[in-house]
Amino acid sequence: MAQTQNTEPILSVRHLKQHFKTGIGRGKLVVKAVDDVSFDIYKGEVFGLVGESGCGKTTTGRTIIKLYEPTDGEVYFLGQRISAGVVGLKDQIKEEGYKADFEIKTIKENLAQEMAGSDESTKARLQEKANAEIQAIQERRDAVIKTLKRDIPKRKEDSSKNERSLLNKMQMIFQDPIASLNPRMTVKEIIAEGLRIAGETKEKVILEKVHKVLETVGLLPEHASRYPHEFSGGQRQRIGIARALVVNPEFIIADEPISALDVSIQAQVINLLNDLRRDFGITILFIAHDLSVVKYFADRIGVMYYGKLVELADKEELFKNPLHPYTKSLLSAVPLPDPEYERGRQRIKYNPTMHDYSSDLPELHEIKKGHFIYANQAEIKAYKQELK
Amino acid sequence: MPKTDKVKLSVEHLNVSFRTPQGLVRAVRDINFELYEGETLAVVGESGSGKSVTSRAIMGILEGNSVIDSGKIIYEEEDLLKIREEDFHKLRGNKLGMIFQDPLSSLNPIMKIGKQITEGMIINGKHLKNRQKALSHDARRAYLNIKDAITEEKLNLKETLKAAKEANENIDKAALKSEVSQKINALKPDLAAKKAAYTEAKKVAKAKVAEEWAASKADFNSRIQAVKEKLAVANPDQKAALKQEIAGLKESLRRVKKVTAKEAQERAIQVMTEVGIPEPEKRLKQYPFQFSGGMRQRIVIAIALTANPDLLICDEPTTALDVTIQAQILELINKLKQERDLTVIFITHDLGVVANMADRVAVMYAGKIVEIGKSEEIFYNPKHPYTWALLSSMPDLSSQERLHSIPGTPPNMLFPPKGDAFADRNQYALAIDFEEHPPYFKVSDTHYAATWLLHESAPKVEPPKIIQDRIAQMKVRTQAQSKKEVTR
Repeated sequence: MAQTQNTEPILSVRHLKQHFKTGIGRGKLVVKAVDDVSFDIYKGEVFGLVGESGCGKTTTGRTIIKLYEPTDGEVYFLGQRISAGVVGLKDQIKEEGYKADFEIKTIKENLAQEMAGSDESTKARLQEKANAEIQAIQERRDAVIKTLKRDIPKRKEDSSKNERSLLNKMQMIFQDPIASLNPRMTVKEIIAEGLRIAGETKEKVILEKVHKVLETVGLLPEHASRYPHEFSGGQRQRIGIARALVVNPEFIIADEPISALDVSIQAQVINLLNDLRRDFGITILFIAHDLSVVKYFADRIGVMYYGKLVELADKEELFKNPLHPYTKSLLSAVPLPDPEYERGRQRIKYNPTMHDYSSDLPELHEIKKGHFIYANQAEIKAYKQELK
Repeated sequence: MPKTDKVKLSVEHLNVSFRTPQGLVRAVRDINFELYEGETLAVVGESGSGKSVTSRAIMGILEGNSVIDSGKIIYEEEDLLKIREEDFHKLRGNKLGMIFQDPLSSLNPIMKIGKQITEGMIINGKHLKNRQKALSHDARRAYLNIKDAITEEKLNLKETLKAAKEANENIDKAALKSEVSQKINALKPDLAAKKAAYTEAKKVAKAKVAEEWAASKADFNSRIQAVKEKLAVANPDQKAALKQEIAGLKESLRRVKKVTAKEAQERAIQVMTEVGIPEPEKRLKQYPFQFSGGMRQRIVIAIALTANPDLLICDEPTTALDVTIQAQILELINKLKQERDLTVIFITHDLGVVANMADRVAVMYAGKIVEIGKSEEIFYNPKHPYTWALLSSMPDLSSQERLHSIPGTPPNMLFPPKGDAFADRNQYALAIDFEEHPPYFKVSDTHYAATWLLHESAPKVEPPKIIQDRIAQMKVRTQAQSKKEVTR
């Protein structure tokens, strides 16, 4: 993926897959919550991830912060691989095995056919030739599997290292400020928990940091001794933000931080996040379904649909030239506070069966600088026409 | 747009409080509005502003600790706050439908969808009983009116005595009591007469219904008999059809008596198709958890529609849904409104949704309507500082500048403020705002706002820049849109 800015990516996601399996035997069901998603997030930017509920945007966030183990793909954070899936690799190894077995079987069948009705000397010659072929296949298979297998322990090691100093730089703000705060812990304990896990033992330092972070998010130091239920919705979300901030993260994943809040409070929380970004240079992955908020807050926007990243572009570009039909449908569904406009607004409906991906397989292409789209070759041509 | 100026529902001076251990919470304070037939009225405001309480008062489903202090809700010339619970059964669900916010918690998780949709129809569908009640309705009403009058006299007496005692006034208790008992005694013969008339009417109604039922039973039985005779001499290959005919006739007879399970199911399938649920026959047998959020909300709408309501109250029906599903549900509600001539009260806090749905908008704050007017008037010419604050706290697709958030929190309604409830958070507040609540000032025939800023001696205040900019942008956008349409 090409860079849109001249800075280093703080987070890179490569071919990330997260499949959930349920049931066994015939009832087995694989839900491809995230299916082959790749993107970079650059330092200091806000990356918005939008899509309808169930499209995998929350799963993406949770997999990045290692709440789930990815099925396949890699996540690089500050240049280091922090998680990499092995299930996909194992499947690939199995696949190699099956492929080789199938080829050997075909050769043996052909051999049996050819041998029928031929004399001894020809038989021996055919047998020898087949044996050589089979051996070649086996050798090739073993070599491939060996290289693939060599990667497994490395991936496992990278995934399980859990280096605190690195992972503390990544924090998360959750959607529901009531459910995500422990009702039996005081605000101080909630905020200090991360510090303690990070190895801070001096009570005085902890208290100092908690008070400082409470002030940063617009609460008062005396709030530290209270319990979450004593706060309003907006204040609770501030506590959630304070908890993420206390360990000085460089990167925050905000998973629908304002969806559960009231209108007037939404503005407060967005303003706060905006201040944090300006004052501390924090990079944010902002997951939301409200496009007007994402447009206001994010720099680049990725649109997800059923586990796939279908379009990724700068926000101005995305809103000016939406290319993927799903993006168009999503943009046309946003109601604006303007009755005249609303009366004329036509919603575009998205029909996923409109794509013909039977032979020409789709990929994420860069159609214009910084504008990526999930499409096949035929569609790319059409989109290029549209851009002109 | 409303087709007529006919008033469908009017709310007059409604006051609702809740009893809590801390005291009375004044949730709704002196609300007045009229709902015209065929229009959509959007009610907007922060949570706790009394939007849901108003709608629940209209539906008569307020919680047990609520007190309706005063007011009237007039629907079809009847005061919904006065009528008896049994009479309300005829309205609630049948004439007044409601869609709730969270589709997951408003559906029973352990009951199949089919049963939840048909439940109301079957309960309300006892035709014979309903007819009996309808026949004796007038006599019953006459009897109850007198009974109510007597109760009211007694209550008034009690209150007068209590008030006198509290004020330490010396009044002639005996004289007062005898005066009231005289009044009551005067009413009593009438009461007895009306009671007798009611009993008589009930008897007559019962006999009449029994007669009607017997007639239709005889009619059907003779038809069934005729078919049975045919069956006795019919060819074997005709038999099946005839048997089916008999079954059909029997079912029709049952349907005269009540709404049968089969009839209710047919109707459920019809309504589910109407709200856009695919494969309704299969879906009937499923549980709520097997539906997605949007589908669940469609089920809730289907339940509300089974009884053909003409007034639909939607209490934040799309808040729990995401943009695309929200758009679908809004389209569905608009479609149903057109097809069924519904009048809609739409409660929400999303101004985008309001612009999409509403003909008129009422902005609520701290239990009062602070501004009411046509949708264009509220969005293009807002007058109340709270409306300004709401409009500017929401980013739209073109906003770049810092969002204006409303400082502070809504007032504690245990101790409602003396003046304008919004004064504390209002940067344009005048001294009088803290002293006296502003009356409604007329902006136009359809547009009223309760703010002292509109008083002739108030200083001229322009709406904040962000609002002015936005209105200017809206004009540009509308022009661009109409141009686009012309070129098309």
